[in-house]
Amino acid sequence: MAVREVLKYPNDILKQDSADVTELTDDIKKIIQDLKDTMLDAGHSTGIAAPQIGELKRIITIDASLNKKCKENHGFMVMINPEIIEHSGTITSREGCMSVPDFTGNVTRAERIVVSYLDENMQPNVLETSGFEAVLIQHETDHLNGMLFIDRVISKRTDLFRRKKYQGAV
Amino acid sequence: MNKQYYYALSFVNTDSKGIVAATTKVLFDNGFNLADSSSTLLQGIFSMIFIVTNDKDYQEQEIKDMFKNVRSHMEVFKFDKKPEIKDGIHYSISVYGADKAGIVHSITEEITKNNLNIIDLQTKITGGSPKVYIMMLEVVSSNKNNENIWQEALKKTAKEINTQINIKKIEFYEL
Ligand SMILES: [Zn+2]
Repeated sequence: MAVREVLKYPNDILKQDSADVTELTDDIKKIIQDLKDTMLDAGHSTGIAAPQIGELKRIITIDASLNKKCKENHGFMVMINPEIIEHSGTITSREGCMSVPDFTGNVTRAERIVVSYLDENMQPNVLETSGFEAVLIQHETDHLNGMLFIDRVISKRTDLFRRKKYQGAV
Repeated sequence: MNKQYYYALSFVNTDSKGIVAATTKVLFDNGFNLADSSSTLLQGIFSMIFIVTNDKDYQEQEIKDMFKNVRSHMEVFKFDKKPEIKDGIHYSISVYGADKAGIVHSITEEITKNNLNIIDLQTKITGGSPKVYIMMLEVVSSNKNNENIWQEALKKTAKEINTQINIKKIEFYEL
């Protein structure tokens, strides 16, 4: 059990590419546990990616059920080497991220995705999902490629918002 | 940290070339921190608003004097403490229709009657014929229980002035 510090931009690690996981070592198991602990400790968070705790490995943990308004979801999931292999539609939402705490931004993403990944036992899986859970997976997967939501904001003045305070999930 | 004074500076200029660089140089040279800003070209008039802070307590005229070599029409407004932003549920509203006088007034009056706060407003007129008027707003409601009432009221107002209206709640996702 370890709650790790969540790195914040402009920490350079957040802008780097993460490496594929090839083997389920003790180190990898520990990163998975730490991601889970750190995500739950944050209270308002629904997902986290390994670079956010300083580990440049392609691992994310998500739990869309932590967003009370998300009716259909797959609950807690560990995704190793996730890859979005199909996507369709568009959905715009205002995203907040623990690594960019002072802002929220309007981001347009795919409404429905198919993602391939390895589960926490390194077993290959494919998941099809849509809506909030799809947005969540795309946001976390972006972290593995050094992308933050602020990279996806379409630089119009209406798309980036300064937070008055860090607010909990609504 | 020392006490910070807040100043709102607005500039309008018909020639936008180099104006942002010249203006922000004066701000930088005088120790102002840029807290927020919005600048855009409105019908060929470059319009800038800066919210800046400084630990020095300036008179409004003193700040104007700093910009006397920057050719702009400017206003300065000073306020003692950081203005509060109201908390609540955010909605985006778009209204469009054939261009005619009074669209903004009718819609915003109804918004005010229903105790909503406008936090962003943009309007555009298309160049074609007939011209189409487009207004985009973001409003904040502190009351989540009267959503249907004010939305119906706004839709009715929009219909009376022959415009289309779309109201969408903005979902905040903590990821
Ligand atoms: Zn994030």
